[in-house]
Amino acid sequence: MNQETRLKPRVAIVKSESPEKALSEGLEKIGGISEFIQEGDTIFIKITLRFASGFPSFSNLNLVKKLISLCKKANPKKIYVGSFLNEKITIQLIDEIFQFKEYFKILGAEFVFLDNSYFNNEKFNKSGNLKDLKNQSQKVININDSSIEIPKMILEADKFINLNQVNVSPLNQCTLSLENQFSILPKKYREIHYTDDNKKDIVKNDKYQEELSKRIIDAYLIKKPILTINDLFYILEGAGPYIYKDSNLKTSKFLLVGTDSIAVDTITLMLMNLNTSDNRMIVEAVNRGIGPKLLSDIEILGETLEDNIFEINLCKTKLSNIRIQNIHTFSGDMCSGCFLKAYHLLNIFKTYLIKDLKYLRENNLLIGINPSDISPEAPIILFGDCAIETTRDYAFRKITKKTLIRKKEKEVTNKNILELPGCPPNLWDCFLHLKDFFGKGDMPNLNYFISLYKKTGFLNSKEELKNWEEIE
Amino acid sequence: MIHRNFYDNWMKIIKCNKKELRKGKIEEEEAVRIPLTSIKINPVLLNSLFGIIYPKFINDQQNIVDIIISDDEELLEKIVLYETEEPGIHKSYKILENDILKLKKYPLKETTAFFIKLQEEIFKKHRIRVSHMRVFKKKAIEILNLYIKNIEQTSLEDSLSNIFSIIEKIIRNQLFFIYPKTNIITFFEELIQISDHNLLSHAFKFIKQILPPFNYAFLIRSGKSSFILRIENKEKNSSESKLDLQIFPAESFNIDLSGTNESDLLKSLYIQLRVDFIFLFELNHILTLLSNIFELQHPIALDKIKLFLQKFLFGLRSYETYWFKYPKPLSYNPILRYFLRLFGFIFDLKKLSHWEIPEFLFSLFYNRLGLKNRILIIFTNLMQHKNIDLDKLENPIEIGFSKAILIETENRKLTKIIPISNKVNEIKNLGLKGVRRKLMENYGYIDLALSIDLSLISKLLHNFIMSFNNFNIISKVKTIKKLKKQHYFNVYPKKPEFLYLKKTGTISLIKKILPIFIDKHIF
Repeated sequence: MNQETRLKPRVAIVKSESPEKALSEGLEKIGGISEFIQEGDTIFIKITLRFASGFPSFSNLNLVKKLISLCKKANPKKIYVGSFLNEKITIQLIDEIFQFKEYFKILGAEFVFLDNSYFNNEKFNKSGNLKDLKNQSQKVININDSSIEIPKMILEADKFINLNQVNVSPLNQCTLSLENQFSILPKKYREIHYTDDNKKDIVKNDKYQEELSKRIIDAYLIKKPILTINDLFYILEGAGPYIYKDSNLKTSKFLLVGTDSIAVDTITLMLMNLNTSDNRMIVEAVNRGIGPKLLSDIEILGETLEDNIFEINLCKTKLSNIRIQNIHTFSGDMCSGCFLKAYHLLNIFKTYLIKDLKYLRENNLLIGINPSDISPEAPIILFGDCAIETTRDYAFRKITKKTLIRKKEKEVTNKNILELPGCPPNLWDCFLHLKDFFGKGDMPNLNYFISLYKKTGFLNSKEELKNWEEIE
Repeated sequence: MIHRNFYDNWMKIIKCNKKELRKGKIEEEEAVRIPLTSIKINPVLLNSLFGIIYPKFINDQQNIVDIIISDDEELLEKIVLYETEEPGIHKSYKILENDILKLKKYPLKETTAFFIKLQEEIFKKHRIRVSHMRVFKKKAIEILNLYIKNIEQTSLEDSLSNIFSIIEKIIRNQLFFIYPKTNIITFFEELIQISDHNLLSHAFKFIKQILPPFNYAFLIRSGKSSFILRIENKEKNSSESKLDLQIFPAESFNIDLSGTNESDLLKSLYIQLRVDFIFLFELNHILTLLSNIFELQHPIALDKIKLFLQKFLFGLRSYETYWFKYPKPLSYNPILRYFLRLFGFIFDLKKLSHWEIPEFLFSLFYNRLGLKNRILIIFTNLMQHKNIDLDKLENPIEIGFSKAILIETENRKLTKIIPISNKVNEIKNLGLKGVRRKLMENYGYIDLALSIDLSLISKLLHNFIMSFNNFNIISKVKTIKKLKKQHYFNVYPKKPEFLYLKKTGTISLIKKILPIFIDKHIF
């Protein structure tokens, strides 16, 4: 290998009988684990961890096991495994549901509670120790004039490895390693909400997506991984990145290992026959001069790219294409924020609330700026600030009724409208509003799930996380 | 070659079939055994059941040839030709000359070519066109002979357990096949791939173990030949029971199948048979359900199981439409239902949400355990230890361990069932958490470890399946309460659904779940 090729980011495309074998082969192809891990190193493995849902909502644990065993060959000082979550719950709650800490202990690694939720209880809170704990465990860094807290464990690790589970996703086609790295930041720094801004401008220029891509690349620059692994062996296709009714676990048998996240992600997209210019994160990286610019700037090892391209079923890109019994979706112009939330709302309905849908009969869901005016006969759900504000003068806001005695026609306000505010709306609040609006008798499944979440620590966990994040 | 016990019984069946006894009087005939089992049956009834079941599951064309070959597939040991005027009804047979076909020229591995040539030769010499062949290796006959030797003395349970074990052995070792291949053989071939050995026999023994004591009769109605099954699971002692099965032709009872309404019919049989309950089912519904099962392929798609469950639940709710029961359960009494409704309980079993229940349960399963998972199930049998205070028991697995399996699913398909009783037995003192932890060292991450007592499964089976429409509310509530007790049912890691079950009061839980399981309207 000459000096010139050595400087290029390396990406190995491996196809194998098992994910573990694919990882071993991939690492060998890019130089072997000893090239990346040295004796006495502290390693942080950033896994995928989205929500309290099974694989592939988190990384393939057999693959993590293999990665740990390979790292251990180099005799490191310590191996940490962890991630912040995609949803607002504590890592401790996730650990209670899956017992990751116990599993990784068997493997000789430590599963870390990046949100310090292990200590996040009343005792610490009252004594004020929680603040000290936060100062000890988090470091404040400045990015684009904003202060961001990041776990020191990640910043101070000698070697940072990004192990990403690839699933389809409504934004950016699929979950790439760059997005996985984004969750080294606490949830509050990843959330985008708009309050008084000009909504039309946000929608027109899709500021949500623009801001999201910018923040993802910023997070990447905080700590670049020495190794990036995109696990495509099993890919969640059809609907994702969570497990929904339309989700299918495709076995592609591919795994990509590389030295540069952007190079690995680019090749991942190309392998799945996806256009890299449609991916806003890659575009943002290229615009900012980060990562390889041309395919020739990447050294591809292992299988050839051209001969192994395969297709996956992506998520629906139009909300009206998510076919659900009794809900008709009418979309105006919307930003990625509202699209993302509405996408999950509709898929949750389709997966878990089938009985409720049958009871609710016909419903119209309106999203975005200036959705089409519709007949007021069926209940109307207005999703998001844009839909609420731009339909104030719509005909369906008023209905005509006959007076009881004289039977004269009278125009009254249509009360059969449910407004779900927010920019974008919060899904938990949406479900609470839906239950109140339709009643628990017509929404038995939703009533059960809300009761389940209230009784089993999800709400407490949410509160604990909020308290922790608010500590200055 | 085949054992006398089988041969003599088979000859009796053929003799009876030949006499076309359907025209004769049924009661006068000496009972025969259903081939390969110890169950006695009237030969005329067997004749008509063969006429219904054989065409449905094996082959619906006439004339069959049985071939016994050497284990190395080099020699044709015996060829028997059955001329069947009606598909499946064996009336006469001929032993054909072994050199009818040269195996060296037409090896059995090239099955289609072999069968076509065999068909040609038989037609040339005997003017009979055979529709299918059943091929046994000599070893299969030896295995069957060992089993048939003592069949008269074998109990029903042992007989069924042995036959399941033999079927599995013969299919697994490819000692028997039918050409053209049938769904039922394909089903067994694929089913046994889930586990390494003795799946069918273990499954049967397990079902027997969890079966609660009962004494039921079933009138199976069929246009051609209705019959009555009387099944009793008699309790021998607290942990053992004895299964007994009797089959009677419906004509042997003083009933009029065509004239009377179902309730009077069942009442009359109920008095004569002295059972706890008597049910009426249509034979074609049972056969359709069985066909659905035999269409399952490996790896078994959980969506197909979901569909099957939906059909099964639809059947359950269709009381007095597709099936009948006597004495009629109180659950269908509108006054009682109204009374329950006043207290907030919807208990209209005719509105059982057959379409939603499997959908709801499977969506919970996929959500929490993912699309690729490994589940450890430990069965305990705490009924053996009646003197122990179970509430104070810290590790029920240690004293009550019965068996353990590891189940693997991938992309909504059941891919593997691994029996791991021996391994778990060695480490049962570690408790559920410890056993899971220890097993993870070898098997990798285990998404869920679950321990459940056989007595609880038995209660669930009794209260929510077998007597689902009995108005035994207290017994049903007691079973739910049992479900909340850690020594009967426990999971690790604690999933939210499990915590919810434990934390929610029984009445409150029923009020939350009933609206999901019972529809407001009939859809």
